[in-house]
Amino acid sequence: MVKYALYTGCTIPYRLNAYEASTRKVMEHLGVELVDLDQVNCCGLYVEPANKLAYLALSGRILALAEEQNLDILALCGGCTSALAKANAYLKEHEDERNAVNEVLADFDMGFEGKIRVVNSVNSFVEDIGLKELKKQITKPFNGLKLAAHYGCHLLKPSEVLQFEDPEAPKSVDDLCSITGAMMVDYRDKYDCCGAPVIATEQSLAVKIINNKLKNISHAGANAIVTVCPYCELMFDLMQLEADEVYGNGKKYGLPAILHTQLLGLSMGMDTEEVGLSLNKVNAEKIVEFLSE
Amino acid sequence: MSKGEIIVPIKEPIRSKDLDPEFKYKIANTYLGKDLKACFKCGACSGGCPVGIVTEVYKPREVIGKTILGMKEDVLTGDQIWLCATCYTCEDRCPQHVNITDVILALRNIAFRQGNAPKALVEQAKNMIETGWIQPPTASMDKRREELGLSRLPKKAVEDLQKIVKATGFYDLLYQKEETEEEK
Repeated sequence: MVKYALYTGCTIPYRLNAYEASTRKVMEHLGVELVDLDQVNCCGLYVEPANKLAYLALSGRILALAEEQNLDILALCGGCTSALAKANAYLKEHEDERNAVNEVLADFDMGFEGKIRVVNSVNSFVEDIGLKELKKQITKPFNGLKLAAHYGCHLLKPSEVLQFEDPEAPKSVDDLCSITGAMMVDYRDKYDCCGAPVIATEQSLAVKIINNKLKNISHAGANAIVTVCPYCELMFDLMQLEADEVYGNGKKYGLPAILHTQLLGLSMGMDTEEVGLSLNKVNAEKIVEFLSE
Repeated sequence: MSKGEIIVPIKEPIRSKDLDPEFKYKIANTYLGKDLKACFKCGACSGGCPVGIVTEVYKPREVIGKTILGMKEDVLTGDQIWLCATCYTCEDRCPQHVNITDVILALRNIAFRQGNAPKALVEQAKNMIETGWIQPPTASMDKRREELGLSRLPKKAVEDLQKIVKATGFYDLLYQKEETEEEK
């Protein structure tokens, strides 16, 4: 049986509860056991630009917590996945930093050994659970839903560290979502960043980036967007309203942006409440109309 | 930095007296910048940059070029390095295997020490240290979680986290900096 230490991070528990709820329900449905890590801390992603060692020690503590239980970490957020996976690889390779981090962790009787993996929910579905197994659980497939996938940078890059799939031509999210019956639609600049990390520095640029993406997706004729990372989801959903305001000239994109776990949950027969669909800012309820009876 | 206030760099010719020839070695010897000097300025990084597409102000090749030239002041005090989305596209595509995103993170580490970080980033770092969360949680969050059948917000190990930031020198960096600024 597949079993993970679940790391939900910061953004998901307080801003994107639908991601946590839909993941827990889908994993339970699939018989995957999730062990909540007690007393975690921030992954340190926000500290990386300020102080490298503090970042490595923060991520190192989470990795050590999961190592104590001998469990791989399931991280949902792109930022957390990338921060933890990068720290995992970096600490394994660099003795000086590993010793420095272990010196800090020794204070809590903890230590980093580098014996577990860090996986994202998409890695888990595609590599650990397997799409064949997953497909058996799709009891209410979508019919005629045209879906645009957004991968999220930190799921794929730096590819040398994450070693998941080719970042220039990834297929995982498309393959995963197509088992729900959705028709996956390609669009221009599909693999480009959503712009979220630029918000803190210059929001107008982030809105410009997401507007370009929405324009391309709209042009490709998609009914909805599917995302993996909470930051991408917030860009496509919440910031879509900002893009409407700034670039819409009175028109709205009206493109629902849902998480891959919400999509899976619905096609497994869960109702909209269970996957938190009403929490989406752009009305996503119309996706349900594409579900077969 | 707020709307319309981005400082557009390079207006004047570059003079050798303004350059620090040691700067590139300093960066190349720290963090993951080891292949910095291998850059042959092909521009694959700028060509694929999602931020470069929407603004003239940020191009990764320019930042790498300035770093190699030794334009220390420009790089560390300007807004450019803070506009990188850290999407790692440039780093993944670089034919010379320059860890471009990591070089930018190394530059940010130095700029942060000098007090040149965007306010929002400093705010998030302080929130994290004081509450364990990058944004302080509110009561409505627990209510929404309950409606979805989730447990209350998990408790974060704030005490351990504070020990970590103190042991790694980040705490002093963040708070003493502020005191110095207040003293001014």
